[in-house]
Amino acid sequence: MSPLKRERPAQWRSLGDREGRSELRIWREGEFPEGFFGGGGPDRREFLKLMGASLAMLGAARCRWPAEPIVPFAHRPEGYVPGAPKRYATAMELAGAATGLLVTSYDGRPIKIEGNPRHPYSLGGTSAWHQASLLGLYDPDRSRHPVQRAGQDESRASWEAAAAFLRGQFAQLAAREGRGLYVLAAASSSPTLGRLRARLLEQEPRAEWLEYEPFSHEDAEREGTRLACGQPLRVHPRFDRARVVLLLDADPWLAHPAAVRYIHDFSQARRGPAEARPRVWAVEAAHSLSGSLADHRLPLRPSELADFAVRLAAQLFLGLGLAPPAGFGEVRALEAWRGGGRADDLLGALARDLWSARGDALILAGPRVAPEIHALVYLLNHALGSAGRAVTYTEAPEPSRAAHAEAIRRLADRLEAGRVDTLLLLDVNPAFDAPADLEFARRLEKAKTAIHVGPYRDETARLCAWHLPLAHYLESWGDARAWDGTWSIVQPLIEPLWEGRTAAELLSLCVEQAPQRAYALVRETFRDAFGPGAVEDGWRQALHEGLVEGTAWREVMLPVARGEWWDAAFAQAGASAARREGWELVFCLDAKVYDGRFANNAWLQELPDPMTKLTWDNALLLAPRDAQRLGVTDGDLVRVQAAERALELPALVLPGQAPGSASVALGYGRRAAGAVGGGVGAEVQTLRPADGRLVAEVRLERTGARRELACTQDHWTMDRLGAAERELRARRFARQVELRDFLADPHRAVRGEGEFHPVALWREHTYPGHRWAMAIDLDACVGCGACVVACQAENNVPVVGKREVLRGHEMHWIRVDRYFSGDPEAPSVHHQPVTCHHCENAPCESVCPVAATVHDSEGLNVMVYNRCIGTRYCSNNCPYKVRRFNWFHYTKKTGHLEAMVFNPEVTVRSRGVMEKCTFCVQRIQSARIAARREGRELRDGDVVPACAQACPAQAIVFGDLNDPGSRVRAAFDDARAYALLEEQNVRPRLRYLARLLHRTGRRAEG
Amino acid sequence: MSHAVATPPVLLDNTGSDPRRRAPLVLGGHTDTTLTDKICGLAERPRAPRGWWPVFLLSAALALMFFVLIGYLIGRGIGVWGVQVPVAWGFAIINFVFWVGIGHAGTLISAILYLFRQPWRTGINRFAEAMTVFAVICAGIFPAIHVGRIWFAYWLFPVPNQMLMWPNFRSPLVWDVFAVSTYFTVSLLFWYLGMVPDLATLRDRATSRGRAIVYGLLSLGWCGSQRDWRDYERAYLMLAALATPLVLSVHSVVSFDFAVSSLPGWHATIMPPYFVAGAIFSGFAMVLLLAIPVRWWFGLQDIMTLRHLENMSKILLATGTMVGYAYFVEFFIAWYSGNRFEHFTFLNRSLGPYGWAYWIMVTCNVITPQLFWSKRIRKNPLVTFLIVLFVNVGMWFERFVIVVTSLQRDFLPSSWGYYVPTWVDWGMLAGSFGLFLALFLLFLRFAPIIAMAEVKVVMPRAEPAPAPAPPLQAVPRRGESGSLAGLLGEFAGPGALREAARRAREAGFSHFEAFTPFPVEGMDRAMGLPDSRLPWWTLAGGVLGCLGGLWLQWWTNAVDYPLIISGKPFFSLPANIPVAFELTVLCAALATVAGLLIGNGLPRYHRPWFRHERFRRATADRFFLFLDAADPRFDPKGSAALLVQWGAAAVEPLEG
Repeated sequence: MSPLKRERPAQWRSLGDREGRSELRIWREGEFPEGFFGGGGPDRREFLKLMGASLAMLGAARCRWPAEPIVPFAHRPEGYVPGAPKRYATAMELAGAATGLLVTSYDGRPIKIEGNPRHPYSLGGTSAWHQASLLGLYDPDRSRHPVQRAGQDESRASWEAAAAFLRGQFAQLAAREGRGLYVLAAASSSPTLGRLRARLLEQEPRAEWLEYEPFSHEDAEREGTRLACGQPLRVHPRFDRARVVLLLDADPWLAHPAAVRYIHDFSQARRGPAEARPRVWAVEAAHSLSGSLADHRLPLRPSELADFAVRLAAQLFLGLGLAPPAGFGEVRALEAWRGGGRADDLLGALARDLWSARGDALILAGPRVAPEIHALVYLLNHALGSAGRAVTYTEAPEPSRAAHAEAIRRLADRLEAGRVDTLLLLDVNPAFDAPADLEFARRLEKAKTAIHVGPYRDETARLCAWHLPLAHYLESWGDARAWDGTWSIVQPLIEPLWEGRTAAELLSLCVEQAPQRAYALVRETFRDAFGPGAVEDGWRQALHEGLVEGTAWREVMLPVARGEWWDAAFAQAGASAARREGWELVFCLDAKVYDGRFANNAWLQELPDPMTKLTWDNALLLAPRDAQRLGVTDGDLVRVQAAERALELPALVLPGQAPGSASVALGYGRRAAGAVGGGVGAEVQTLRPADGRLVAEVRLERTGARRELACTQDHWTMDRLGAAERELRARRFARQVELRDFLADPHRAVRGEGEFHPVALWREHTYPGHRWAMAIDLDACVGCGACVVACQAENNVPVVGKREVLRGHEMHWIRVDRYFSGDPEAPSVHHQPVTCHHCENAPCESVCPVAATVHDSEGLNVMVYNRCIGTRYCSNNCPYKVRRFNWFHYTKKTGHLEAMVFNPEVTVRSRGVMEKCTFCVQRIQSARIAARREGRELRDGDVVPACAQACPAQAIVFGDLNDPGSRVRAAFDDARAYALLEEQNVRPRLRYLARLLHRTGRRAEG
Repeated sequence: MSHAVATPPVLLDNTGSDPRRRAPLVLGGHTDTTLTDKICGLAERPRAPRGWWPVFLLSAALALMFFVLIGYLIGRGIGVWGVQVPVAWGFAIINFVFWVGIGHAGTLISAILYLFRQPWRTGINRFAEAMTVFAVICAGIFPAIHVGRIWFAYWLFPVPNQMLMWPNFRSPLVWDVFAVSTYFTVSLLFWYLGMVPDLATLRDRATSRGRAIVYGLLSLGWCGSQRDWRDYERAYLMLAALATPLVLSVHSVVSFDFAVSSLPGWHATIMPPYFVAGAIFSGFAMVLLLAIPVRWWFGLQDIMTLRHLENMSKILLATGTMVGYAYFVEFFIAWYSGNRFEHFTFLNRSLGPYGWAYWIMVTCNVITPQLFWSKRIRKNPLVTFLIVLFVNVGMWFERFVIVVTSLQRDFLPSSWGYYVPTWVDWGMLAGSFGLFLALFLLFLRFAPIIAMAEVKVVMPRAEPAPAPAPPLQAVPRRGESGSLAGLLGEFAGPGALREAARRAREAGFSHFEAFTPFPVEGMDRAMGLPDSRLPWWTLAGGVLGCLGGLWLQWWTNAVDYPLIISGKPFFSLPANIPVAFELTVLCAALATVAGLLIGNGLPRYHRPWFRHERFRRATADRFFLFLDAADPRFDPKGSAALLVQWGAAAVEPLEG
């Protein structure tokens, strides 16, 4: 801690801090007192005891608790070993759904996030967002203290002042039953927050609580199910059961709150017997990640989707004689929609496929699909007998709440009408992400008092009278429910670094006589839910497991009702036929910054987009044919004219985008995101229609100007020669095999005619101990990129920024290569994670003049940083180009705060040194030490590298090839296994398992 | 170099059909005297020649910028260059290979043409060797600064360090270190050794004390005695013999950087001969590029004649065609091998994003030299100058094409990239030219730019009959016999001196010495000198270097700190040959020079004859026989008479 003590801090919490006032020095000295977290696993009691004690000690510098002298440990707390990492279960909520996590803490400092294998919506996996949320904790741009604004004057305020103000304000409001009080809150599943919300509405009955998500996953689905059965439902696709899956503009494996679970289920299903292998059909405009995994994919403009769905229904009911569900009545109205249409070929095959898999056929519609079509999908799932099997339903939480798009519109109207007296904005940023036509920023000024609670002083916070910092979930007590309702407790890993508080604490300030701390609030909710008897054991169990068993919602099965939606669906379909002119712009959830909330997270900004490999930007994605028609290539600025507004966006050609449509990611163009995310990309929500739809009609026009796009693949426009070769090689490198061919002759299907027989020119080294190796199953991999961020977090991989990415200086140790092959309008997509292959005959080693990269006795290709002089010859000679060079001192400007994210078990590299994937050698060492302490041999599964750990699909397995029972041995012996560039005779310790394609016999479109 | 006097112009030229009618190498009726005046005059000018200062200041400014940029590079990191993944090597390596290649012409002219008895080399070899030394200096800077942590670059050498680790002798970069440093050392020795007699000439002509001291120190006390010349010539031959394989090996080793890697476009056995041919090609182009303006600027047309230019043009034609053949064979093999990566690499090279660089290379290197088939063009310095300019551009682009296009698109298309040099890259390229030119201009200003002693050997010389003794100096002055060191007789020419030496030996003298401005054929036999023992020094150095090199590699990599590297055996001879070879040459060369210096007692700045005014011309155009007073046959009076009798034009006593 010594560097923290002496120097003038690079970040400071306040002027007092900067000047080194004594109380803050105390705080800093006591920042990570040993034993902050005393126990793990069995000694929970110890933990709780310490929590109480050390929180009080730590809080010395904080305003919430009275200052107390710091007392160092006279005795080391039992079970606490300084420097030994500990893991705690917690949960992260995103868009109102929680994912259970295990967070590694190193001397009281969280350094790594992993999935909780016991949690049903993690199952050990995580998304990139979960992984990167760790960096958010140490973000120096996070809001540090309350701010009060009067006109242009902003001043730092204390929580006491804020609390006094809030109490006064809410008491006043209560006097008039809360008239004029509006709360706009991010979606949250927290039972505690729900309890406090109920309390608030009880005290202020005329107040209005609105829930808002800029990209709503549920609006259309809730409305659609309500139309179909009279009640909004939450749809749970069961990818583990479905044999035929149709995705109607749905992206369940990336842009869905339950994506981690769905990826897991889907990959498990594909691992099953070949006969039961699921076949996926996708119909969509934007080329989503899920679409890239489909066996058949039809690019279709959003407006044509209704037509497609109705025709599919006609084909099923009338063509194949599928019976409508009991009580639904006649389906003869579909007669007009039989046959014809743009996708006739595919429709027939798809309908037959769905029909033949009745009961196991799953149709899933996405958030951009009209509610009527959602209703139709509900009907079809019921008719196919899949409801309750391949797809289940639960009651939607808060069935009466307004849709997100409706909520923001309503609030905007109320603001305009001057009816808003007090506006409480809970973790939302509508000044940035509300549709531009609502002019939310302007209208916000009309609220008498606006209070913003959020993690950043963002666009909205700057317009509000009060801004109160929100604590990060890793520093908060809280609770949350998973997509299926499973209850988890959010457990803090560290004291709040700044003065943040949780949303529940804030509400408690507003509505409770004696405001409580989050811990007490959560305990109270827990007691209310499970009874006073359960509270001690149940609580501890919940903390330990990361969830409360049996708290998932019950499945419901409601019959389909025929209503107005039935004709509305036809109207939708009819309208789509008419709308053939003009461009349709599709708004997508960004795979990196989400809806903009992660814009200041450098790991995510630099994560290549799964489909476009674009970093630090959003772009207008166009089909190759359309780009040609417009006369643009990657980076050419295109003027996008929506009804009222126009925006210039750089074009990016994405094969598979539906012709006539363009897609664009939300969440960019933040003006007040922080040092990292400010001004990155274009603010495309200005083009979004006021009704909150995720599709807009636009005009496109080439401007002639350019903006360079930093893609990590295909940095430049590829010439024809290169493009042809790339496609040819993609087929060889990221192999995809038709299931039919594979079953007929697996060996030939995967390896082709040529067979490579390695020849030894000399007596080779043997590895009698462990032979570490990795296998990556391309059939399981969805290309989501969680492994990339996990690796970055685990291995202290630096972020380099857009300019450096443009110059080919990105540093990721694992990358996910993405290739297209086949018809550029309807391509096959290959995702292939590439790490260091740890070749036994590693070409990088022999060329290194100083022996800085050599083999260890277990066959790892190790990189000796302090021996490296940086000739970069190894990189030249690496056929996989996985080595990364520190072109500059990328970590030079890392402040003390950001440095806290570093994994202390991995060297932070300086400039001039080569680095690369180590197979997480530090994890091998810790596993070895653990095994030795337990007096046993290492077992398969003891060593899990960060990438394998994070992978929701469990596509990466790691282990010892000398262990005949290891999973990696099995994978190496699998018929699908092949080595990349085997003919180079480098003997890689990494094998890929070829992806299987389960296409129908008739090669339908796509 | 010593044959010319014996058989005047017979072996001088190969272009005519009648050997007796071959043209002389030096035109303009130069004699030893005029030649010495001409060449020394250039270095002795009190003021720089017109145009020297502006060009020098410009070059020096560029050189300064080079060093400033190096500082910037070291301060900020390699990222200031355009290099990236996949193109992790860029201008630095291109420039390195380019400059090393340039250097080859000097060594080739001085060593290989020497061994092949091509006397026309004498007019240009000094010049070319200087170019070699400066080019290798420029070349050597790039690999040093191109490493990410230059402060640890010394780990490339097998020196004990805190990590107790040794270099990996399987790496071509280590071979490079040995090859380039050996090459630099041997080239420098060769150049310097060749310059010693000429520096002595400058010393003896010095008019100011400062110049006398500087040239005196540099010339090591050379006085042109026959014993010195005997060992000197032997040393020169040994060094030439060592430099010949060295010159072939250096660019071969440089090519191993590429050939030993597994990258398509690099991994090819054609690389060594292809690189050597290219190096000689570019080196001769650079010699011409410098020689054409300099001969005009300094009025050296008589010494660097059109024949020199023409001969070099022919070499360019030959090597340019070899290089063109190599380009063709690369393509042929890429197709013939059936290796799709190789196949694509070459298609991409010529038709891909860097196709423009490829076609610049082909145009400049293969097509333009074909103009040299025309004798008229070969005889036209201006056109030749333009062609060699193209060749130099083309050869730079050849290295660009090899380095960049192979890296740009290797195996996995996902990691393909496009390399764009930054302003720092361009600045360093320009800066290296500045450094090279600045050094070269200093050389032109202060050094004997033509190897006078060597040119004198090949000059047509009408050997006059021994002239009658001029009465004026025929009688030796009497001094105290104790302080008399001996008698110095001056002779009209090398033939007369040789005859006098023979007669001295026959007369029973054993303590006598002959002094000549250049080595004279047959003089050692006439004097009855035994053969030089220098070759034994060379052999001992070579054997020691070879065994030491092998031992070093075996002990460090297989015994002291064995590491599993690329799955290869800890010791394997093939990978250790380059370093063993380089150490053999290095040690042999050092031993040769050491043998020369030790054997002849050099440097030695005090000799009795240095005090003698007349003797100063012994290094320019006069020939002396010295009879030592210590000789038992010596008697001051009689010996002086003998000298006169043997044909001395003047006889003078020397004080001891």
